[in-house]
Amino acid sequence: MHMKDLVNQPIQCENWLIRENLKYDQNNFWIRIEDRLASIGLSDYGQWVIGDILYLDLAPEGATIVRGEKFGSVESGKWVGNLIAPVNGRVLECNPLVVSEPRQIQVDPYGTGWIMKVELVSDDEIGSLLDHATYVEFIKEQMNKAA
Amino acid sequence: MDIYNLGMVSWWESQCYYHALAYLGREGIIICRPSEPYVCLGLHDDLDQEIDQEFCRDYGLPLLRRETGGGVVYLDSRQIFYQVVLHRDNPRLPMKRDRLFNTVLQPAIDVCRSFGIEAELAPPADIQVDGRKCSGNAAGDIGSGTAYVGNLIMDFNFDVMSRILKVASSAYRKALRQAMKDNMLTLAQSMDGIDMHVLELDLIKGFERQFGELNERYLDKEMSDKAVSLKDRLTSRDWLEMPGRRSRLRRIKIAEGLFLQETRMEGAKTFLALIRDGAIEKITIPEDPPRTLRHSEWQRLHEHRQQDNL
Repeated sequence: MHMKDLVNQPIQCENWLIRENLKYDQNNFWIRIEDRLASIGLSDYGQWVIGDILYLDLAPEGATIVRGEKFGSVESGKWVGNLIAPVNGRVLECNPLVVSEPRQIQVDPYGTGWIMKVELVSDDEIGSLLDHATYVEFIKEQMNKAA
Repeated sequence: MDIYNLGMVSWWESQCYYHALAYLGREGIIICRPSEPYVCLGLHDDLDQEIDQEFCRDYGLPLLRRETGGGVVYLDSRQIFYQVVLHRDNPRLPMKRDRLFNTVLQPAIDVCRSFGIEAELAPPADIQVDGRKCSGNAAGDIGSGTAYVGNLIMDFNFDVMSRILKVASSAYRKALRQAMKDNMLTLAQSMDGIDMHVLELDLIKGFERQFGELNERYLDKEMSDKAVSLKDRLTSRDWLEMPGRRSRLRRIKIAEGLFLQETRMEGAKTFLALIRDGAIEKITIPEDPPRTLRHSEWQRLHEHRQQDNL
């Protein structure tokens, strides 16, 4: 866990924790960007939406991922869903822990359950992402639609 | 919502039309039956681990990998398929995709109940009667849609299914066959003189209750052409051999919450455990003939299992 996470306590949105110091997208990924390195994981809300994760298939290290396109798939119960890339970049590392034990994403979505590290194509990747406040509004909107 | 009551179609068509609808961004419900038997893998199944390919070749069973979840299934004309494709923007499609199973499975449950079979949903996606599975179901995000697919099992060839799956020994195969027979129910076991056509029409009425008025449609060129191109991909060697989920010890799902799993005691031989809802229900020692584990051995294995959090 990063030191800044210790001082940045998560905020509660409905039943889920949202970290203030991260960026998000509408496919429920969180993205932590440091220079050209992006760490990617599923938000607490995102892991709830998917449900009990049984299997994860990710683009291999060295592969190029394109924002808005599939970079992997996930199986939960009897459902298979696509993982849609939140940024453009090259895969530097996939988290071996979540590949072998995908349920780790549910145990610690913002920590040991991170999914992938990516070298970003450019510095302006951040512009397309949501800050935590906008993401909280997005979740509320989704919950209202579902109600 | 469009309904395609296709009746009997070829083995590959029974999978490719719903994929075609999803990739074309169209919605619809398909009712069909495959005219020939075949083997269908889930998106994340590992061909090499799961399937005895030599048996499938010798038996003339073609293989296809679908883009939905769940495991390997043997499919033939004694199963009626229902396939529901919704566009991802359809407000009926829940964020948590498994929440739509109760809607999609209700017509099949209603059909069973209309014949006095007390079927019920076993979440997330089985239909069971007194704990015995009578319908297999799965879902997947495909193209710009989500497909929910399932079947009503009129009759089932347990012998062939137990030969298709790759297992380590004949004892495992026998235990697998028995576990399936004990925990699956075919409609033929509960009903006399099944008229498949009547069941198909009853299913359609059930979908009408769930989705409102249905527009009867026939296959069109766009759908047919897309299905043909998908057949090539879904049956190609590269696609079939795509690496998938592997486990150190063989574990086969029989029904929701029920697994037949190899397990090993320290320095000892492999045993087969039938595990229901996380608890060992039965142990088989894979000898010829297979034998039941003694109580003391059972206890030891149970302790070992708890240590390993099997």
